[in-house]
Amino acid sequence: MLKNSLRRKNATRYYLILIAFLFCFFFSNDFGLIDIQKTAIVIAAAIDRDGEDFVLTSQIAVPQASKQGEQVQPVQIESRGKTVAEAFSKVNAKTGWYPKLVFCNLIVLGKTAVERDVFEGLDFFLRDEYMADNCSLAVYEGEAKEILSSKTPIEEIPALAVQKVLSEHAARVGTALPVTLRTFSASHYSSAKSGFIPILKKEQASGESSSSAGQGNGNGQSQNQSGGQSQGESKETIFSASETALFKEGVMVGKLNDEQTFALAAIKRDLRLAGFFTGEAGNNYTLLVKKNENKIRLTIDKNAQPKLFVQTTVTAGIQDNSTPSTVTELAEEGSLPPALKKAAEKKLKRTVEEVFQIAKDCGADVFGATEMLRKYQSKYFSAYHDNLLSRVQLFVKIQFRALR
Amino acid sequence: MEITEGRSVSTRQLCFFLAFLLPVPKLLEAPALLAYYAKDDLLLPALAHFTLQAGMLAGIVYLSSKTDKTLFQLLADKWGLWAAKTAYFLLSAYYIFFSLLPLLGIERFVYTAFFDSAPSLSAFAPFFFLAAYAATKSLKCFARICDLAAPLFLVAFFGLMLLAVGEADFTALMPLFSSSPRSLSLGALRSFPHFSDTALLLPFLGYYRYKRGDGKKILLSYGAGSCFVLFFLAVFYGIFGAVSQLQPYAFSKIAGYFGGLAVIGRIDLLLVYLTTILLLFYYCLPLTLSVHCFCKAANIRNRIPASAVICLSLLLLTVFFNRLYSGLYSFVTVFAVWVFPLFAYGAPLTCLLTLLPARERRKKRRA
Repeated sequence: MLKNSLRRKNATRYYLILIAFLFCFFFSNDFGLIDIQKTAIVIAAAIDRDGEDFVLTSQIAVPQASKQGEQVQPVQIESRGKTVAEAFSKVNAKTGWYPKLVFCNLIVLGKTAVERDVFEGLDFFLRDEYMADNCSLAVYEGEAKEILSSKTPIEEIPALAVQKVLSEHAARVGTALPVTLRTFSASHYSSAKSGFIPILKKEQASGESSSSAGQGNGNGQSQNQSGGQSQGESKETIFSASETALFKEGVMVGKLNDEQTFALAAIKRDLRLAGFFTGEAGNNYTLLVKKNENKIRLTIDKNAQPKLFVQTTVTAGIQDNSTPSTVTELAEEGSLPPALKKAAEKKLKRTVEEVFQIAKDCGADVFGATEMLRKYQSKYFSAYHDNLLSRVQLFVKIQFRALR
Repeated sequence: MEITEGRSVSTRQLCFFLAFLLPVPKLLEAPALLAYYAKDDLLLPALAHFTLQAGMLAGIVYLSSKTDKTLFQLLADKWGLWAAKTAYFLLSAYYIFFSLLPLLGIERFVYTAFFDSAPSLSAFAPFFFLAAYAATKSLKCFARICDLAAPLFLVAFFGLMLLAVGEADFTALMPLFSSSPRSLSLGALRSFPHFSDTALLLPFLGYYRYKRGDGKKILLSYGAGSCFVLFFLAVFYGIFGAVSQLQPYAFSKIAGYFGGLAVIGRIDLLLVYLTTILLLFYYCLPLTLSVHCFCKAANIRNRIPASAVICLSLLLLTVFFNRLYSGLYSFVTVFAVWVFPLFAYGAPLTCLLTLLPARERRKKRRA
């Protein structure tokens, strides 16, 4: 009897051990064993259009043995299809590699892709259950594949160099307004049907612009060009994303230059240690923005007039100026002279108004006014939501506060 | 009196079940479903479900305060042995029906969250081996799982929420009552399969002994569990906004947007693993209850064959319906959705009727 009981107990133990063993496989994705020879780990994708076709360039990380150990080499594969999914499936047909999108952290949209609804292509990534939706989005005003085939001194793989200029750090210092697939999709599918995506620019590593697409507005970008240097001397490029493309119903309808991008960042996002350039009495100043506090509010007055109040308080100090400073001025670096404060406030206010005018002209509600109308003034929503931007009055209040 | 395996379930275990295990399956597919119908008002249908279910729970607690009998005894004493047996057969079938969609859901969730591409269907088979083992055990064993679930849930849920809450924009839930009453009621109707908790508690009658003050504890625990779910729904909609309905398995990625994870890696997946383990524990319950009710109705003492047959049948059904998921989903949530309120509301109310005195006694009393 005791023997029987022991045998039964042992059977239960073996059964439980078998379950635990099988669960290990179940939870561990078979310990993540993937045949690297048959798998293409897509780390970035570039989308261009050729008529009705999608031209997809996938940047694939390929591990290769070298003297320094194993290194990752990027490989670009171009494929075409009537849909993005078809183009991806052709990667497999062409190379024998099965494309995996789990590590795809960047999608670059070319000029031809943003001229029509970008969600003709982007919705594939929203549908794909195996892809994270926090990959960065960027626009390039040329062929998007050029970005992925660039050579850059920053990283071995250009997609990683691009991700650096679209990082959270870049957002904090106000040099770019990065968005992810999730945030852009959420704003696109909101009542405003608008959004923005940073525009990538290519520059030669020496400082000369090498991008034919980047000629549109070189505001502040190519000021340090070294005149006599020819393009052939160095083909290595670096990236910037200080301009921003505005979207309405998925189509690019306008763009903001670097100053306007900074102004939009100053009223919408939290800045830390950002540089703000201004001038006063013929002297150029760089202010270091320690932090900012934003408030955007939409109200409807008694006459049913919608009013948009944009209020930002910027805490900043002088970081540098273009003329020599006295010892006393250097000692008071945290203070802001009243004239400089006024000039900075005036400049930022003017730029915010410019942003609003551009948004109004192209109908892209980057201020989120339509969403505020839906959330807080919902009884006016049906009447105003189609033409809110053309009706609304803007009131901007910018305040600069000294560090000390 | 029937032997109830030593009055196995304590008040603490019941409270832990309500507060820490019942909320877990509601984090899986219910948020996207509610967002699909009710949009930014997704909290309202959930709140309505919780309020009604709390009422039913209060009824069950009242019933257990009035009698120490098991559900089977109550039904047998009131309407006869065959009525009790029929009710238990029906309950057994209901628990299998109740499990079918969530099991397919959790299978799809695990494949999505932990696998990079579609694995073979047999990968989910270990769950049925575990469930078959759990189903051979008494309700006391399940009650012990509730003790284990409490710390696991607290670590996993608060860990995930801590990482996620910073990304949430709670103003996305504004304005309140913006969805039409039709959308709200449709959301409430379609989400019945996710909010039919009280039917799971009926077989616990008689296995739990009511003590003074337990009613408050039990209802507060259910309230706490409901608050966890409502908070999750608010964070979920705050993060995904207009694209919430595209996120059927949100809790696996809701914490992934935390900035620090880019540096230290996806440690949130450990918390997701913990939550998945809780889900597996939870889904063992309906199968355990199904075997329990079947054995009781058929008067079978050895549960092993019944457990093996039921779990194997469910494994085969899962494999079969895997290819027909959308058809089964429409069938359960549209055509057969009435089954859930029938058992979640009808069954407890019927049990409460057993408290009414018999007709003869009433006549005597009147006379």
